[in-house]
Amino acid sequence: MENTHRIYTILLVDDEEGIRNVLDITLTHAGFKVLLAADGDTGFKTFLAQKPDIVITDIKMPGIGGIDLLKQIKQISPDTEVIMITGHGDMDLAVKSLQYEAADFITKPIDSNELELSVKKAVDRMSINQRMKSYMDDLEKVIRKKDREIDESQSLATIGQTVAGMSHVIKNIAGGLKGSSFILEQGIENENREYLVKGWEMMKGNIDKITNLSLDLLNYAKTSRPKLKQINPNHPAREVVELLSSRASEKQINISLYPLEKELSIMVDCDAIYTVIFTLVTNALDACEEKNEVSGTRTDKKVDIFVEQQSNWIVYRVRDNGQGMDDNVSGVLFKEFITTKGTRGTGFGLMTAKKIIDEHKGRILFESKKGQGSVFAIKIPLQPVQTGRQ
Amino acid sequence: MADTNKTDKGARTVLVIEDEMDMRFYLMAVVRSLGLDPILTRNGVQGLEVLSTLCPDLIILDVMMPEKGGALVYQELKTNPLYRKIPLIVFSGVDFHSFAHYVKMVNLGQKTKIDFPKYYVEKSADPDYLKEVIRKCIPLNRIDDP
Repeated sequence: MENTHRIYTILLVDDEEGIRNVLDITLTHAGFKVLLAADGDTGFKTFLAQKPDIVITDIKMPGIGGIDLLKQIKQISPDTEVIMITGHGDMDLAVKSLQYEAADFITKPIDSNELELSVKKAVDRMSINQRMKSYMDDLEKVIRKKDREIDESQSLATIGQTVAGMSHVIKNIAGGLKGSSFILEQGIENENREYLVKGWEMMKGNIDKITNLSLDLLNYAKTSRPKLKQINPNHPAREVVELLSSRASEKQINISLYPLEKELSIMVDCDAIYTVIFTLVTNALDACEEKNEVSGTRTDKKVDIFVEQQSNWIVYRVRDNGQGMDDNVSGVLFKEFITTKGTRGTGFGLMTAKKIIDEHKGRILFESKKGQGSVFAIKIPLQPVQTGRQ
Repeated sequence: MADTNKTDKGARTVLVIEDEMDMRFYLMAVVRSLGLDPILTRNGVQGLEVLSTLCPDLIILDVMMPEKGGALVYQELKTNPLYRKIPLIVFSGVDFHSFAHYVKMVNLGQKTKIDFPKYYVEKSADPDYLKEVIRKCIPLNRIDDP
């Protein structure tokens, strides 16, 4: 039996002491580490404690039988190879055990060659599975790397497209401004009031266009690269609460901030974190408001914002007692552009939030119960404090 | 026949095909400042309708228009023998390379190739430049036509 790469552990479960002893000797001699159990119950406990690679179990045992043991093991560890030992008249049980994904069965009286062959097959299968798994892991790593490269090249392509689109828009605005100034000149020269009015309107329109364009550009730049700065973690949360408190009281929602009392700072893009908290709190307010529309019952609606430290993380928690979410909604929340707000929402909010938190190497988590409310938490890693620098 | 509509002494006409109202007004102002007579249309369908009743001395065509797109009108102007000789200025928000690429694509596998535009003015160009190009087109037209 080839067993040169590593020492496999075999758990042997049999109520007959004689069989246990014989098989122990055979398998130990073949280079395996052998664990013994005299009944199914002990066998399962040993399995949980020692996590053997292979289990060989008698089918007929007092207490937990072999098939039940097989089922229990397969349930928690589907990759474990289980070989059944059957008596002469147990063909039905043997077939049944195969249905429950036993690796093989050997019949009593046990022939040592048969046993070795069966165990060898199990070992081969395991090493193939392990190799497959490591290939798959490698493959996944390669794919992830390629994905990142594609992401990068796509964002470069996006920048290229944006620049091209921008230059087109700017050119058109420049054209409009030149056109309007020409019309104005003509109007002044010929004292033509229609020209003056039209030219002036056209110029104002183009001024609006360029103003909007510059705002769009600013937003784009904000989402493309975080500008990291040391800030007090309470700062963005406080700003959000200040901004939204009047909207909350308008909707009769009680909004409270529980700031972090300890003085410390985190390295983040303050504007971006502000955007995320703003999104979460706005969503919470909306969820509270929607609840009233749905059920019509009156509860004191509230949104609480907590800033906390949990070991190496700063955690912002936004809790509401609003309408909550269905499981199927919460599953796709961060992946797709999904909105539950009808025409009011764009579906961009949480996507952008997720992107920002990813950029900060943070996490975004949530818990929601339909009809009871939601808690969203964002966790930002605390950087080691740099000393000797301002 | 389109040619018979032309008179040597009357004010020369410029057909403007442009969907944007601001730009139409601007082109009108430019054309008038040269002492020419603008006929304003807001899309390809209207432009071609006008062409079926009279022959202008010049066409100014925006190639980026909805409905009957300017590029399709361009194709028609270049392939219809009645319109081919009318001087044409393509007035466009896209740069010349993009439009040239479009013409190349249209010509792929066609027996009769359509020409690249002789006069191409981007919308962002100076009004003085546009006026210069218009001036170039009008005398050419007079020389070509007996």
